[in-house]
Parts: sequence; structure tokens; C-alpha cells
Amino acid sequence: MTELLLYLYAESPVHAGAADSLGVLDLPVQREATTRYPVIWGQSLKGALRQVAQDAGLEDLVVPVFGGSSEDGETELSAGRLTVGDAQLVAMPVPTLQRTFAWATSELALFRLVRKYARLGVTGLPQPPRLAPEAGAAASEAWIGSGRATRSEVLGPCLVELGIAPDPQLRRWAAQLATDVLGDAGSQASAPLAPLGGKLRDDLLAVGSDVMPMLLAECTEFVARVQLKEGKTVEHGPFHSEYLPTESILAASLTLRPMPAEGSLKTEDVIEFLLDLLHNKLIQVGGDETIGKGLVWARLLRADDVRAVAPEIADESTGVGQ
Amino acid sequence: MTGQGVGAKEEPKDKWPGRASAGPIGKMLRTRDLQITRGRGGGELRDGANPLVILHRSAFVDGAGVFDTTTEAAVLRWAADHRLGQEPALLQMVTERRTRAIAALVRQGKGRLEWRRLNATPQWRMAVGIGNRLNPFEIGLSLHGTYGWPIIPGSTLKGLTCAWARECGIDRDDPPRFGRIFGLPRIKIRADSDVGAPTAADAPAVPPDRADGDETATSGDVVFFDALPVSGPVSVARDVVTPHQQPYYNAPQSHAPGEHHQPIPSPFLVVDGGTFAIDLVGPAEDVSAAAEWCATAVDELGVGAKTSAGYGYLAAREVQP
Repeated sequence: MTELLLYLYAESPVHAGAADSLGVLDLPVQREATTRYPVIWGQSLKGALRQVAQDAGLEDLVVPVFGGSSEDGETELSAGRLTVGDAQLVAMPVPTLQRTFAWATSELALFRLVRKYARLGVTGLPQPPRLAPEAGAAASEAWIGSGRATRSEVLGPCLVELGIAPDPQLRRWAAQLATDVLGDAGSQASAPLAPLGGKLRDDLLAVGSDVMPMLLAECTEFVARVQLKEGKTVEHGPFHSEYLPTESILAASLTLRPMPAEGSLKTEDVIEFLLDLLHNKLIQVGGDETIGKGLVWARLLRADDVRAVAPEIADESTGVGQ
Repeated sequence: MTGQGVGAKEEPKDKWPGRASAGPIGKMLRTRDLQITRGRGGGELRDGANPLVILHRSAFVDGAGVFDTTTEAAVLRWAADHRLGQEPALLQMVTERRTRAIAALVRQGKGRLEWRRLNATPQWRMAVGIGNRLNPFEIGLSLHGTYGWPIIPGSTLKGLTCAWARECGIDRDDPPRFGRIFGLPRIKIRADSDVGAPTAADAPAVPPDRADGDETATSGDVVFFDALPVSGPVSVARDVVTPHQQPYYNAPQSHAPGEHHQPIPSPFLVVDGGTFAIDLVGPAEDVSAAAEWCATAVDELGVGAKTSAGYGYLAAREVQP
């Protein structure tokens, strides 16, 4: 078994659509039934990944890795060797009154991420910050009041207290995400999203369990569209679609079962192919492709590619802050 | 005493009393003297304040909790003075990232895809998304879903380009090409349509291999991205439309238009300068055609609302991405 961690970073709004409409929203995004966190279901993500492999012309790879399809008469139905988990939300951008937007995350989202890292065998990650249900914490001084006065900040529809000092654990998480999701550290500094690293290190906020669901419900993008007839009168609509906004961060666990010993494809080769296909590449997920939606940057990380970002970096910068 | 009291009321200070936004965010979001400020006595909000909060989340109310419509002036002023909060440094980063993303998309297409970029500048003013008035001020403008900056949505550009292609008669002269570029709706939709003759003429647009049953829906092969500001923030201006007989327009059955009605000025926001990058990606031949149509369409048909009053005409030129 080879465990992999796939990060997805929204370059344009993503509409991974659910089937049912909710109230006035005709085309909602997929959400988890219990938490109402936005999600991209494993089956949707797997289809998108399969499409990437097909578009790249890697037919030899598609059937063993993603499974034989019933439409293709020549190959037998078979299970793929790649298991694709749900892409769960790590952080979502929320509008603010300074610095345009900040990424909001939560204890729940970070704990799930800890478990994904644990599957890779990566330990030593900071504990997610523990927060009161209505409280918040910030990764940098940019969001902290001066002196002892606690600072409240407007996040979308909410007013959240962000404490009197940056949260050291959250600061380490920001560094971890900047390194792993954006690739802004060390030899990977040429990664396409690396220039955003500075912003993510400063503008990651964690919010409590009362605030997060409200942000996730209210801060998705909501677009009304119509289809016109030739005479410019409305033929269909308005229909309302929901999008996961640009700059959202999601993560999925991928597991590759070993390739059969007698086959020509070795497990290591398959991983190399997958890295070629996905790492630092732009992939299409979800609907409305022809109006530029659903582009996400993917980063595929093996156990060897990640480690807990050195605490001394975080400690050092915390020291500067105090 | 009485005279002094009246005098004090007439001072401009009282004309724009401080108001707090309704709800919890009112502690941080207030108006004062035609400014939007951070809390009571805080500084004026500037670049980096997100219009998705200021336009879409705030309703400034008086002590009794009644929405004060005069605060709209402060919101409009902030929008115009600070160009809807566009931060030049972040905008630069976003622009560069968009360029890298599309370059990567084209590279991954392995020669199947080409990219055309048009730089479009409003010739005068532009009002896109004016019907999207999902805010207390009823100011409609298409805003980016994360940054809140003015954009031209990809769906707007696609619809506009499609309309121009129709005007050129492409849908009749070369239906397969029209269907390939813009996609085909399901046949069910065609059957519902009450436009008789053109529907029949469109029938050959169905590719022969897909002519069976309802399986005629295809997506177009050209991608129209949301057009974002490039090379610096676009400028935003206050504009006004003044219906002179509003009671008549509101209820034509009960009111006749009359000279005695008050003119009601109704302000709104427009983009009146700067450059948007329109990015199209698709197979070489199709994307060239689409880019050409799009460049003509923004100039000839105009984008967004009020094109008959001169709004929405853009000068577009193709640039090397």
C-alpha cells in the first residue's frame, strides 16, 4: 500500500455539484451531510483524475489504476488499484475589512488533516488550536490588536475575536500549509502558487465550531444566471448556482494498492506517472468548464515529500512577535 | 435657544450622522461623515476592505434599528475613492497567477489548446451585473467571489460572443462549427422553444454521430474565463439614473405619469477606466474565431446593461499573453 496526500487549491470557482436543490439554490455544491462542510466526493474526484490520465493519453495506466469501465467492451470490469478519498475542506477564503480576504479553518478541519498526515506516517504536527465555539485565532500580528485590547475582526457576516497574540500552533499550521499546499519553501520555490506563501503564512485564521458553519454556508459564491432567447427575453432562469470560491484549499487521501507482480507496470512507475500527471498541475473538477470554472492546482505528496515544518522557524518568528 | 437648536441641526455634521451596520459586525463597521470607518473613532476603510462585506453584508441603521438610506452615499464614495478595495499588490499577484495557470493549462493540452488574450478597456462606462442587487443598497455590479473586485463574468462574455456569432449568421451558415464552439443544449430545450423557424434551421447543428435521442447536449470547446482587471486596478465611478415618474413606473394601473411627481435619483456604480484581460482557451481554429468575435462583440454590441445609453462598449485588442 502506498499512501498519498492530494492537495487541491482552487484557481477558479469550483462547482462540484450535488444533485438536489435546496430552497432558492438550484445548483448547490456538494456538502457533508452531518457537518455541512463543502466537500468533493471521492467519486467525483476520481472521475476528474481519470479524465486527466485519459487526456494525457496514458491508456495503459487508466484501466489498472482507475478500473475497467463497462462502456469499454474490450476490457473486463475490474476494480482500480487507486483508492480516492473525499476531498475535504482545509480552509476557505472569507471576505474581510483588511487584506481583502483571509483563510478560515477550524479545529475539525485541521484534525482531519492531522489524520491524513498520519496515514502518510508524518507525525510531529502541531495540535490544532482549541477554541471556544464563538472565538477565533490568527496566525500573525496582522490580525491582532495592539497591547492588551483584544481585536475583533469582521469575517463575512460574523464578528470574531482573534485574541491578543498570534496563536503559535496556528502559525505553524500556516507554515505547514504554505510549504505543502503552495510549495513556497526551499527547492520547490518555483511552484506555481509559491508567491502566495507570504499571504497564507500571515492570513490563516482558525474559528470556533459556532462560527465555521456560518462562514461555510454564507461565504461560498452565489451566482444567478439566465439563458436568453433570440429576442433577448429570458428563456430559462434565473437559475442560481453555488461555487466554492477561488483560493479554497481541500485535501484528499489517496491509496495505491501494489500492482500485480506479473504485470509490466511496477508500483513505483505508477506513482511516478501520477506525480507527472498531478503534481503542480492544473486539473478540471466539477461543472461549468466552458465558463472557466473548476480549475484547481493539484499537489500530490508522498510520505517522503512531507515532514512537519521545523518548529524552530515558527518559534523564531513567534519570538520576533513578542 | 430654539433658534440655536435649529441652527445646530442645519450644520452638515448632522446631515450625515454616524451609523453602525446592523448585526454583530456593527461594532467594527460604521459610517461617519460620508466615510466608512473601522469601529467608532477608527480610521477610514481603504484598499483591502472587501466589497463582499461592505456592499453585501452591511446595512447601516439608526438607533431604532431602521435602515438609513442616506448611508448609501458613504458606501458609494468608498467604492469610487478606493476602487472597490482593489489592492494593487494582491491584484498583481492574482494577474500573474492567472497567466501561469492558463499557460499551464495550454501546456498540459499538449498542442490541442491555444490561448488568446484580449485586453479590453471601457470606452466610456460599463455596468455589468446591474441586476444582481443582492444587497440593502440595491447596487448591482458583478464582483469576484473571493476578492470582491469588479469582473466581467465568463458567462457574460460567452453569451455575448455567442450573440455576435448569431448576428453574423454563423449558426445558419456553419451550424456544426457554431455548436462545436458554444456547445449544444439538450434537444428537450429546443422542443420547448417557441421560436419556430430558427429551431428547424438549427436542426442540422446536431452532429450525425450524436443525433440519437436526447444525447445531443455537448459542451463547447472554447473556455471563456472571468475577465479580471490587469495592469493595475480598474477605476470605479458613481453614476445616477433619475426616473421622473416613479409612481407611474411602480404602478402603471393606479398612477398616470405626471409632472407633479418627484424625480428620484437612484445612484449606482460603474467601471469607467482600466483594463480587463479576457482569456479564451480552446482548439486553435475555434479559439481564433471566438476571440475575433468576442473582440468585435464587446465593441459593437457592448457588454452588460444600458448599452443603448452608451454603456458597456469596450476597446479590445489582442495581446501576447
